[in-house]
Amino acid sequence: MSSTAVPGGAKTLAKRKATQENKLKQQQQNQPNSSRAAGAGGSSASMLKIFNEEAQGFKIDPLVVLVFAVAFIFSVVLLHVLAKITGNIF
Amino acid sequence: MSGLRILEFIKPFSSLIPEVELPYEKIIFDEKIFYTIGISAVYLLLSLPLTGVNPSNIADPFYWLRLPFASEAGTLLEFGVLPLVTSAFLWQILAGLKIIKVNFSNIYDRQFFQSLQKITAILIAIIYGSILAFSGYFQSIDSFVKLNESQSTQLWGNILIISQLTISTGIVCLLVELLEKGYGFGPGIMAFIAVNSATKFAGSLFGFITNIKTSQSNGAVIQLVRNIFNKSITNAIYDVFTRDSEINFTQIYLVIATLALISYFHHFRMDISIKSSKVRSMVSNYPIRLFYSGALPILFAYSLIYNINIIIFSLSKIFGPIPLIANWELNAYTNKTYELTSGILYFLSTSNFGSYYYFNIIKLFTFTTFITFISGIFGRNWYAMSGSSGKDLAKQFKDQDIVVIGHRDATVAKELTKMISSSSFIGSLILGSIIGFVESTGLSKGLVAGVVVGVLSALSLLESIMSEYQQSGPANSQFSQVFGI
Repeated sequence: MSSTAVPGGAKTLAKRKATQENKLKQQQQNQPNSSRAAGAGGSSASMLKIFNEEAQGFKIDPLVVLVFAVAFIFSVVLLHVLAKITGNIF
Repeated sequence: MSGLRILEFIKPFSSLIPEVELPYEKIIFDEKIFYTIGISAVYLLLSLPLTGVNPSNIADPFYWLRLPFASEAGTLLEFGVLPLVTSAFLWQILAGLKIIKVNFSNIYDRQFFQSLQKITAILIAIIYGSILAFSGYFQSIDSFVKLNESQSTQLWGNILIISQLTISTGIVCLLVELLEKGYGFGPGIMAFIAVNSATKFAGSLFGFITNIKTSQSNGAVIQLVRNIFNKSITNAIYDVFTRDSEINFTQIYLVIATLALISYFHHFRMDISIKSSKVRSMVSNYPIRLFYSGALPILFAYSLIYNINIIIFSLSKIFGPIPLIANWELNAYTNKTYELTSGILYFLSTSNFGSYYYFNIIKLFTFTTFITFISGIFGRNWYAMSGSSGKDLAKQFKDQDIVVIGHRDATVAKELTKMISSSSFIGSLILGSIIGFVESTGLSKGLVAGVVVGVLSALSLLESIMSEYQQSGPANSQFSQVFGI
């Protein structure tokens, strides 16, 4: 008596497979397709938002970012001044 | 399991990317406002001419696309927020359509997805920067000035320009990240667009700076006052309405009229009555706006056109003209712009310089239809891709113990979806057709689109600021005088 009916679920193997596939499909469809849908912030209907996680990478302090930005601006200004003095840098 | 595991390609690079730390503790409201103002100021400071480029001498083919992306020709903000907007839309749409496989419930996948967007933005800046540099876009159009330059100096000049553009885009990325990670307010992209278009609009009214070449003031009002002292009164007024080199009064009145129309439609909304299921309280309203997607449909349509224009323009300059697709001609009167005159791209532009007269009339329809169509498609799909569909909203309500009055738990999602899908679609169509029509006349030269995108962004930004303000409590803020109550 090897083919005793397994309790619960559909009787035939084909139907069992079909239900399982349906379940997988449903799961895949219900998977969140954006970080907001997963409940983690991010772009909403009227806002385009990219950064909401702290990803790996080398961490920088917010002040460092501002200082770096201003330093970059000043270096470009400096390049302008140099270009004016020497006539042409390259 | 379909879908490409694109995130695997990003993993090796992810540890190299600079990443702003999340704040250790919650930043207080006032500090956030100062951060936002400071970061926006740094962004505006970036509109500094590139070294090796003279912005007043280059001809700009994209002038009518710039304002919605806070970009400026020949400066460090040559691309503005375009690379970020492009990569954000691109990857979110690909992930939303499940073309690439991202498991958003997994935190690592979300992190890699974020790094992917950042890397793509910088890659876009590098690619666009190099194709534009090698197409000769950054060279002065009065070319006899720099004829004595050798080939290698030009190469080094180009490399210098590309590296400046790359670094400045990286900095814009980091500034956006600062705002979005809780140091400042709201999505950084929208904040920059709002700040930039506000600055531009104010400047176009009251700008004191005089353009040396044309001896015209930036501000239309200032120019009017100057004209009244110099010319006869009819000439003075006629000149301010028709001047070509700076913003004129025609554009400003178009902006005001369009803004009035847009803000009229912006008030259209459906209120859902909600109340808490835990606390016995009064019923409050949850509004679903007609412009459910805000300014994004226009931003998307414009980003599409902007990207195509950059690519085709530089390719046509490098490999010779492609008359069937696009044909640019230098504007002979001002020498400041390239105008599309024919080709497919002409019909998707606002240029009034068609090589045949009837082209201009066809263009009215094609441009309006294109913008309406693209924003309609976008509005039809974006709410589901961005996690703001009825299902997500219903889940959010359930998590916060909010019930919708008159509906059982099971039907809430369906009911919300019905409202959201139609309002988002119709709202985007209306917004697209208004902007498309006004811009297609070629009179506004991008000012209307830019200011409308800026205002709608500012409104959604203001919403998040006010909700934060109400949560933190008015007593804790120095700004309680400003906001009232």
